[in-house]
Amino acid sequence: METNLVLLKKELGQSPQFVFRYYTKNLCLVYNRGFANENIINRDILPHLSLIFQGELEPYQIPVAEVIKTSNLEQVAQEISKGYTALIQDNSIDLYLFNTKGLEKRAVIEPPTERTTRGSRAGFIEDLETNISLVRSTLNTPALTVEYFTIGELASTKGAILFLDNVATPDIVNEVRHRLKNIKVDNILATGEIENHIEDHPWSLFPQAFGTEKPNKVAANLAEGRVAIMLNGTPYVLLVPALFVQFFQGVEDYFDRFWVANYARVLRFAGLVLAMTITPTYIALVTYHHDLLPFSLLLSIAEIRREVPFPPIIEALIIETILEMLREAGLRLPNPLGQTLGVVGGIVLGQAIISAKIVSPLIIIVVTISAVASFMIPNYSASLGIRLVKYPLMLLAATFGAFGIAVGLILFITHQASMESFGVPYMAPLAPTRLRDVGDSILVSHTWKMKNRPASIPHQKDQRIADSLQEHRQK
Amino acid sequence: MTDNYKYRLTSKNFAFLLIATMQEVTILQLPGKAAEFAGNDAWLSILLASIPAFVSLFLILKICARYPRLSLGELNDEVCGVYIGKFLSLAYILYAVANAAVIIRLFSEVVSSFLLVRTPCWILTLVMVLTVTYIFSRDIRAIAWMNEFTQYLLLAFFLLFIFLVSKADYHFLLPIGDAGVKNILLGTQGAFFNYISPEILLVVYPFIENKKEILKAGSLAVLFSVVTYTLITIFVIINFGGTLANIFVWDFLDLIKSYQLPLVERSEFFTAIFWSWIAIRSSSNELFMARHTLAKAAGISGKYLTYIILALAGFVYGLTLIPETTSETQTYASMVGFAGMFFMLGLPVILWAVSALRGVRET
Amino acid sequence: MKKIILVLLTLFLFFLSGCWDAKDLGKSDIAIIATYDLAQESEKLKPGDRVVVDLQTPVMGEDVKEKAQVVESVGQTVGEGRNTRGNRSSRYVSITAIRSLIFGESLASEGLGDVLDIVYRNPFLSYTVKLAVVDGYAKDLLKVEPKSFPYIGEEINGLLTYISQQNFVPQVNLAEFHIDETNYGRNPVLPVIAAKAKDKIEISGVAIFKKDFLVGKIDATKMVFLTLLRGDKGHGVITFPLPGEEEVLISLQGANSRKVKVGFEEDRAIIDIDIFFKGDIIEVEKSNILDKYMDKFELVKQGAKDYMESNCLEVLSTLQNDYRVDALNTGAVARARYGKSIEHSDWDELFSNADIRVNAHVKIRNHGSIQ
Repeated sequence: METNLVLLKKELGQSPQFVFRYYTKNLCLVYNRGFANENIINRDILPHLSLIFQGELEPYQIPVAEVIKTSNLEQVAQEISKGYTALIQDNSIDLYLFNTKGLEKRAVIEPPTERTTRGSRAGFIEDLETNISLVRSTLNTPALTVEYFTIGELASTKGAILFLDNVATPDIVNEVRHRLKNIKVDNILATGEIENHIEDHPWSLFPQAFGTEKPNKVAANLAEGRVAIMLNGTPYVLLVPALFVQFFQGVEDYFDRFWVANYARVLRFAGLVLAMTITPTYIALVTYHHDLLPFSLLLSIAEIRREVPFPPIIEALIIETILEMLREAGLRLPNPLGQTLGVVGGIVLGQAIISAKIVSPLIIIVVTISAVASFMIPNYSASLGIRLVKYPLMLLAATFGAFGIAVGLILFITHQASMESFGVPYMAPLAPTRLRDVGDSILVSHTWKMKNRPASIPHQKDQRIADSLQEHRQK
Repeated sequence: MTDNYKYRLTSKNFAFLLIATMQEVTILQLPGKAAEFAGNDAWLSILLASIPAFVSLFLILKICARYPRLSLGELNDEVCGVYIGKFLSLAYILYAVANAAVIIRLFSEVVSSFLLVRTPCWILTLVMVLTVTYIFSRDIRAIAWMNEFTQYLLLAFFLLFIFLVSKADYHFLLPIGDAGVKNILLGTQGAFFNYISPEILLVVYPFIENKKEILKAGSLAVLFSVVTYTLITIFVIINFGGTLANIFVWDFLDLIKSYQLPLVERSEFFTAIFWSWIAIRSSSNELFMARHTLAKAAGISGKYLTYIILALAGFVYGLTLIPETTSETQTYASMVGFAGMFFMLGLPVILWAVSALRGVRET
Repeated sequence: MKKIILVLLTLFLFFLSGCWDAKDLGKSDIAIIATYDLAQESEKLKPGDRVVVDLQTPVMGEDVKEKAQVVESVGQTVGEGRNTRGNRSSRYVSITAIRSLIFGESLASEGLGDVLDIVYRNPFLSYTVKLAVVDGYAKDLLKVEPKSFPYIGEEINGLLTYISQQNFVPQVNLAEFHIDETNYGRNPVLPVIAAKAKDKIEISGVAIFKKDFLVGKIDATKMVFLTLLRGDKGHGVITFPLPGEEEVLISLQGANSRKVKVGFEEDRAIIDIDIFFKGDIIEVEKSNILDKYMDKFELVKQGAKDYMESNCLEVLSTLQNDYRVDALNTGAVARARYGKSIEHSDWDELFSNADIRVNAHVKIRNHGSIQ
């Protein structure tokens, strides 16, 4: 036992947090003060140690839920750091691990970035097991398969992939496993880093994995044939393969009334186009194509532009930059200050900049509409991507007018169309136009009409609902 | 960016590829060129000129069916032997590049005349060549998908012009056939340039998954183009009359100028965007064909592909600098049109005849 | 692969250096109306000068004396005149917002084709600009100082835009003029504007053209019938006496359309023009208020028909005998029927010798709130 203990101490390293609770010289419990729940140790393990010492009780018979028998000191060290308690006896090389995990967990609350009006408010927390159980409670089927993995050479982090056995195609699952296995790093902090390592186009502006903090979104996506990647320590779960249109859909679209949901979704897509093109269009029209402006607008713009010193492109860049700075600053400030920033930045600064005649009021309107339109996008990383696409379009519009915008747009479309996410074309169902799915991506259709899984994600079982009573009634 | 046939096209993708390659900048001139001879019956010329396109699809399928896994670059070698084969491939590559150059140059002239008057033409062609280079360096699936997606947007745009019918005088179309058969036939030569794309099938045949559906998909694509062209020509004639259509250089654009859309007074902004897309799409498709044929004929793949792409880009740009005026460009366009007729109709027949005589087939 | 993108990006950056076409709106003079005249002796800069072009541009800013200014150019042709304009303007003159082109009578008589050629070639002028002719010199029209508009250009633009909605006057834009001027069997017409007082303008008639030459004028009282015959869409009032009770005057307000048929008898053309008028009774004058005209619809219709037909025949005789020009575009219908064979003939002559029959068909929709 001495040798075991010495070796174990070496594995664990120096830390006052590790407690070596000697029962006798030959029987010792090792645990980590920060992770283990000392109540369980006191109540369930310690009382039985005397019997174990006397040989009348096997360690398996200790009333603790999970007991692992191992002789691998590395594993023991890792598990102790997760909250397990190790039992070391001098007369055996086997060590026993008891699950006494008791680290304080955050409560399951609504994630601040993914708010919803109807639907579950549950959100993932940092603990892997709890997260998995949240998914399983929504998607309770034996087909839900969970596979653990660990990443990190220096300090390993545990993660899990989830998929539905009878829906997800083996090709995709194998590809996910393969890419995860080949991540060789020292340590990994968040799923965002995993995303970096496994995505097809790391240089692209747009994410190729759909991230979410809500179990119901994960469940819905798994049911379409996707694979979920979770990491201990991050509430942000990745779903692959992802499609461009996914980032513009909100789960509540299916909970709301048909027309309301359709309106919201169409508005979002209009917002996408608007966010990208309205500022470049303004620049092109005012710099080059005066004859294309409606006549009454032409005279008032001319009047305004007389007093402004900068050409439209400089105006636009100034205001866009200020807006981005305000947005970024708003992220860092705590809540009450954030609101002040909104008032100061938006209203006062905007008003002052117009009165000082540095920019024209029209550009403020245009840029604000563009910003609001981009905030409509549910997924945060996608909305940032859209905002960035705007800049090259603005420069192109400033040099070549409408022609420049056309060039920029077609380059954008082609670039998106040539992207793939785990073998699935990124712009499906828009680019390889799969009409069956368009009804669900740009518009919303009734859930009782969506009989088959979307063709854009490879899957095994096509039909997801049978003929329903609702369908009969509506005929 | 690989030429592996692992990347497959469906027949629907092919249809859109064909439509996109067919719709070129010359639609803008189409009614005028046909009206030169056929006057008010220009639309009949447009209809007639489409017949070779259908015939060509049929002929090409016959030869490709014998060698389902070969693209044009390899096909020429296989059928005609190394020397003649490489010569034919080279001819095709030159033709495709010239085609793209004509489109790019013509479109730059449109932009130069209507939108950006003082910008030098060579800058505009440079921008287009750069854009087109990026696009044709992608793999064929991405190109086909982009074609499809933009086609839907273009359709929505065309629908806006249905209202052109309101102020029109249908008397211009009557009496039908008045120009006489000879003039109508002469008018078709102005329309040739718009129909010369079925030969891309020779290059992309191996990519397509469902070979049986090609004829149907291709015919629908040609039919769609024919209908579009005829409608445009009819709109121009009923609005302007054949005499005026002949005077205008860019008929369709003048038509759009004379039409006031309800919200936006002048629709030229959107016209510019959508026409840019048409020109960029068709030239990048042609250049992709050139690139693929060159790669297959010379047996190059992998990272050397990059050099081919850059070389083709430079070559195209050089060609666009040659003509000095619009009419020179139009002369080149007619020449390319005739060459296209050869590649569309003549080449498949030659290949098929030689292949049948030699009794060679792919096993 | 990456190399291509990098190369492309670097090349793109070169373009950010020059914007050849960028024009600052704030530093442009935006012309809203253009007038064309023959040069008077006092205006000529050199003996060969022929054309004077005036552009009215609004002036913006708070510290200016006038709301609009006129930029004048003189030259042998309109194109040459641009140089004088260049000498005189301190801002870039933008012509893309021009809404109307006004021509002086004398210039129109010498043919508008020369002057319009530059307009047709220019891609920036919209084909929807309105055209009109002026009694006398067009530039004098620009001196009118209207009370309800900041400058006369706007009033002229407005006038030409709304005339066909409140009277039967042909509203002609550049596209229509070009079409009528070029194709066989068609001749354009243009509204004529006159300055009535120092601050008012009005339409004083319709100018008849033979291709692009001004040959005659139909005055305001008769232009209604020319429009009806021509089939140009208008919306206005026809006032006529009731048959049998000549003191009673009835007004009908409505819209028109027409159908034309052309045939030949030996060498003489037979033209049937059917005019369709659909309107409401808006006024019955000098009648016994108790007489109900609802029962007399047929009579009313007859009255309208007679009135229209007789006046149309008058206008026709002017066209056939005095001007010898087909201003009604019936030749287009003839061509549609007879094709190439007729294109060798001079349609205006055929028209002047033709037997023309006018048939008016009147439909009354309703009669207002009282009987």
